[in-house]
Amino acid sequence: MKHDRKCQYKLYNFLAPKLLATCLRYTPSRAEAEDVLQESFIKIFAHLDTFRLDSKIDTWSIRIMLNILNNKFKWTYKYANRHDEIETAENITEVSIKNEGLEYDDLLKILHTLPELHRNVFNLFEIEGYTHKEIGEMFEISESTSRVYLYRAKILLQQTHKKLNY
Amino acid sequence: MKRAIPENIEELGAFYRSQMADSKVSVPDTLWGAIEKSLPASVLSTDAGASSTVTNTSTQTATVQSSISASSSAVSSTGSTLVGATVKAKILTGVAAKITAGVLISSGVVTTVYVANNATDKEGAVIENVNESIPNNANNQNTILYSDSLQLENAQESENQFDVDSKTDAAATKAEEAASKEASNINQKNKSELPVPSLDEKANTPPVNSTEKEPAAPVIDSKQEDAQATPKQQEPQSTNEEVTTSPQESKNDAPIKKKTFFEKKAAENKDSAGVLFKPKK
Repeated sequence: MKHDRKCQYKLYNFLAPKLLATCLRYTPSRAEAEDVLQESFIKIFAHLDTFRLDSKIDTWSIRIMLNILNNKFKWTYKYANRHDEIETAENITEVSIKNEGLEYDDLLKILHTLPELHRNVFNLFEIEGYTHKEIGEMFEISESTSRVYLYRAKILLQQTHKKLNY
Repeated sequence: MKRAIPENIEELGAFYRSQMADSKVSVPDTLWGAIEKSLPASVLSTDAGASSTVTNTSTQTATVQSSISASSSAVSSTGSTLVGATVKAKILTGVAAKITAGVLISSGVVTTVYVANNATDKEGAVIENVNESIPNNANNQNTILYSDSLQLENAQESENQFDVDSKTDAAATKAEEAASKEASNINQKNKSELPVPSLDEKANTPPVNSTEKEPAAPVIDSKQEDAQATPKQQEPQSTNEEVTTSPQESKNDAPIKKKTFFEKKAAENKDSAGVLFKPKK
């Protein structure tokens, strides 16, 4: 497998659409997401022999990708203070959604209105299924801080939804 | 699937998860090329022969695929997974294969199987045409990869068999394997033994009875066999019902002759093996 290009291509076809969708939730642009995806696959192929059978290969690959994202964007919020004043939807980036119903791209736009730490905590906890402990270790913050940021993210999302009349 | 955004803040997480967790985005075609270029030499195929061995894969692909589909039904019917299992496969075309160091990546229903190119025969010589990925179209949920070495043994064996040795599934898979083997044997028997009525016979038989009583030759689906039937149930169905004719049919085929006195006596004087003996006086 490690030396078999055809197998590698099959694995790439299987994983790439999901990894790219995940990556887009964390990166500000598609170009950056594709860069991260490329880097992730190099690492996945190089370390495939270390993959253990106790998890799914897509979960394992997403973890590799999140580590790359973490290194690339320096997700260290050591100095983030959970007592900081909460942002309001008025302050966050404008988002325009033309569709009547919310599609994947629209939800992605809404997610990207959140400040980075809020968005990352929300993504990791709610969508990827990480625990607050794992998030805390990743971002060098305490578990309780992670909880606070998750709550704030939800409030901001709710405000954005109201603003958009959803 | 579109869903209204929940007003309750507690439900927001579940909403986003349902809409985004399993989402997929189309990947640009050029990306694989870029990845391929930037892969280090240690990750890429080192010998040129590795990719050139995939020259005549059509037979191998078909045969391995059919073996693997037997495995997938075994997995799904028992409900347990085969993670970490050693997988032995006997390929239907007559080449028996054993995946000795097969690595089973992911669990659940088998969808794609990758067989690596390190296949060797008993003497250790590399066997060509085994390096191929085999899509199994049963379900498209997970991927299973068998990597590293695939050793072929007992080449040119002509059995329809598939073994999956697993700590959890050994018994279930053996039963299923036996069922599918028997089903295929029965299928072959039926094809060869079913009488083909001649024009004269057709003329002799009344039309109503012939259509009602003669069932069509059964097409036994091996998948159905795996899921439903046990080997014991299959035996009487196929051989007895299909090949022998019913009493009504035999009545219609020819008028019953009355046995003469001498014929009756001769029948009585035959033992169970049909050998004539003299009655004791």
